[in-house]
Amino acid sequence: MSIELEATTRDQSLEVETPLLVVENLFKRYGKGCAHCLELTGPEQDTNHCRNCGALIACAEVNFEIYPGEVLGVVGESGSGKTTVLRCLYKDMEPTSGRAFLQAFDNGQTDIFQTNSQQTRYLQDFLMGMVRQNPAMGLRLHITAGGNIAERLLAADWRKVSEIRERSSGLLDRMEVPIKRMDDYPAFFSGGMQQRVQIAKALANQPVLILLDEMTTGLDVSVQAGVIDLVKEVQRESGVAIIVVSHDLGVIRLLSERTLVMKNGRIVESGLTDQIMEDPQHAYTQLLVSSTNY
Amino acid sequence: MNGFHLKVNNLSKHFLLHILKGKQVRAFEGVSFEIKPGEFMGIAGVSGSGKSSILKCIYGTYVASDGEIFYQPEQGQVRELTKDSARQLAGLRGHEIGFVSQFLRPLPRTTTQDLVANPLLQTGVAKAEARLQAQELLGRLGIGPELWDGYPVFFSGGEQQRVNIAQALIRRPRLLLLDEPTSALDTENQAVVVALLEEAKAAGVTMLGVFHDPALLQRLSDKVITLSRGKQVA
Amino acid sequence: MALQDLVAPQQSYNYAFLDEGSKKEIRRSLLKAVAVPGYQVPFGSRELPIGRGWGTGGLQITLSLIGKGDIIKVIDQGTDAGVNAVNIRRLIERTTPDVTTTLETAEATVIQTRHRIPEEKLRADQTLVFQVPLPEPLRLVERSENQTRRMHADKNYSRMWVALYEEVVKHGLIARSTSYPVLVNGRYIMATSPIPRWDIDKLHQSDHLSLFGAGREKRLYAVPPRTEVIPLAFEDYPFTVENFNGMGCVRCGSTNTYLDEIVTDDGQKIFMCSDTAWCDGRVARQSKESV
Repeated sequence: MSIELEATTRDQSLEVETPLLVVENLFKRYGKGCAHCLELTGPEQDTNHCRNCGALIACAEVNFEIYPGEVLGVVGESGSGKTTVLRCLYKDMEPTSGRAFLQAFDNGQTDIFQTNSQQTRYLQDFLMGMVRQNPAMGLRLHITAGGNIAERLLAADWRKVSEIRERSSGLLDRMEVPIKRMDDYPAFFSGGMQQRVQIAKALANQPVLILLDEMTTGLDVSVQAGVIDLVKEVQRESGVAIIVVSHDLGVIRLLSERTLVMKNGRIVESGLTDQIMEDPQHAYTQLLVSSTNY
Repeated sequence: MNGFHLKVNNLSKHFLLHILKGKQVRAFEGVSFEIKPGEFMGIAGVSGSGKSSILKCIYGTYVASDGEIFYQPEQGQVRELTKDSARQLAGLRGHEIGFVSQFLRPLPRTTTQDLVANPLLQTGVAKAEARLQAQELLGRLGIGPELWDGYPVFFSGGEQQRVNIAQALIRRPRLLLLDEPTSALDTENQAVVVALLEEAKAAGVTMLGVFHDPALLQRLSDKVITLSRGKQVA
Repeated sequence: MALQDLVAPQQSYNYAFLDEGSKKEIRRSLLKAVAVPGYQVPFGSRELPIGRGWGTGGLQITLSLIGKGDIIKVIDQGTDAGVNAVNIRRLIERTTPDVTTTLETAEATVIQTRHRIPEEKLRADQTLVFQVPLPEPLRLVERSENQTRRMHADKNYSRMWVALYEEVVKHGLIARSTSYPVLVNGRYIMATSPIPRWDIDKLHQSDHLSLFGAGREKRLYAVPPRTEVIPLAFEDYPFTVENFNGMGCVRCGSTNTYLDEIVTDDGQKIFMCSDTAWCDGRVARQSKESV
């Protein structure tokens, strides 16, 4: 019996794809700003502060796309602006300028940075999910684990306790949180388990995009591997697109297919993750890659 | 159809090491060749002559410094890979172009059969079906059922490499890039892999392989290019 | 200045105690409240000779509305004879010479109440004024006033629902006994003031107008007639009213009114109608029949 090695026809289209999310010129500045802010900040100047007016440029000239079902990594150190980008996308903060279009939201016609509070809630409750580095920020620690997930479902007008519990327990089970802990308080869970509850919560209303903000930072290494692996599995099963922000190249390598490298608020390089790791083009990327042992 | 599957034109790669004050390291330059569908092209040359770098430029792991890479996909127009975006290159990986590296890179907490099944999952195949296909392929490569739920990091080098090959083959690539796939294997394991490659060739898979063993090159290749110190000499 | 001068009846208060400007402002706020059912309208709560937390909100509404020919009933915990109800009635009597007071629900044009809605169904020409201690139903889940206002504005009530879910998980049912949250007109979640669950249904699609006043918290809100008032509940954990286990009132024998549980001096538990006027009426009719 020989293995079937003939090429088979694939449906995967190689033509022009519609991105799930397009971010144009995202810019976030703290302070009044002046005409020189952009030229006085950035990776070449090695600073986020404009020495002329004292403004802090958290991120600038950020342009990128992410496609349905894709995992995009964003790597950088503190001051890189990677978290700012995520928080602007999740509507946690307002950018100074820039536009972003999510295909699932009004067919990509409406700038998600310009939404009213109802639309914002729709984006946050149904279209996107966020997992934060600090579970205390992303979970209500004194509401049961199941209750945390229920909150998302209740926002989507689920009104039957049995159904809510069924979905919550299903999600927790998928995240390898023991079902018997469903009615316990996350305040008493380990860090890894808290993250799993966060991920379950983020997935509750089947969003199209999940944002992971330093999801594994602070977890023990062995626990990290488990969480990452779980995220990969879930991503494959659900087809959700993910933006992974991390300073840890190992995490980025394991999860993402394409990566953006950020420094001092700018994207310095972007490309296939293995290309970034093995043939970094930008000086900073080379420094970053050579400094770690992934 | 233009007649070629892959055509490389004056391809060059050098590394610019900013952290070494802009030192340039040349991998190879001026490489040109053409492979027709179903052909097996070998790349010969001693270690360090830049052979793997050619493969990596084609696969997108390296950014070519100069030259062109023309690729004829299954459907549609010829593409020039050095001009493609990262997303487009990612789209080619798996089914159009597969890559077998010299060593397996095991993933944490992933069993052998899942490691091999995973590339299929990405294309929407159901888990159970993907596992079945993975099991079949592993079986053919001599990795028996007792190892399917094991973690490859604990396997022998030969076993790991066979898993590595299975991982690339499961997507049935049209063009398979082979980077010293048998160098870490003993004779017996080599034979298994070579037999597999011959089957693939018979099934019409185009292949471009780096082997430092001239005998293997002879046996498998339809044509061979030779590199010496980064330059194409034959 | 003799002692008689100091204890002479007060002549210097305005009609119904409050000045006309204040009454106008309160009425305007009430109009806003009626226009947006269930929405808490902030208002400038006035000083009254009653301590805060004792019904100043309800009283301000009543005083702003009453005029010649009005008949007022005041009840506290369903009874007209409570100390607070008596005092409020006395204040109204002393400052509004052409307004009468009554103990009969059917006679009244305005009924001010704490903790109960009368058993007798109210008519379209009657107004029910509630004394509300805590007007904000979301306070239990969110301490910040800014946040609760934002939640109301965005109709973002998921945290309230989570609190109810947590109660079901913990107790197997929604354990709230008074001030049960309701959704008014499909838009705002409202605090029903400390009325028992038993009375909630009387707000739904009522013939009468219900006005709610919280003097200490400085909020007014309203449920106009024919308005949807739906208690929050889950499909599989529906809203239930108090259950008296088949006990009846010891005075009139009623088994379909809200009963107060009273412990007598010898330690016995007896039940009596909370609405004393209703109970009296039944007893009077029963004794007439038996004659």
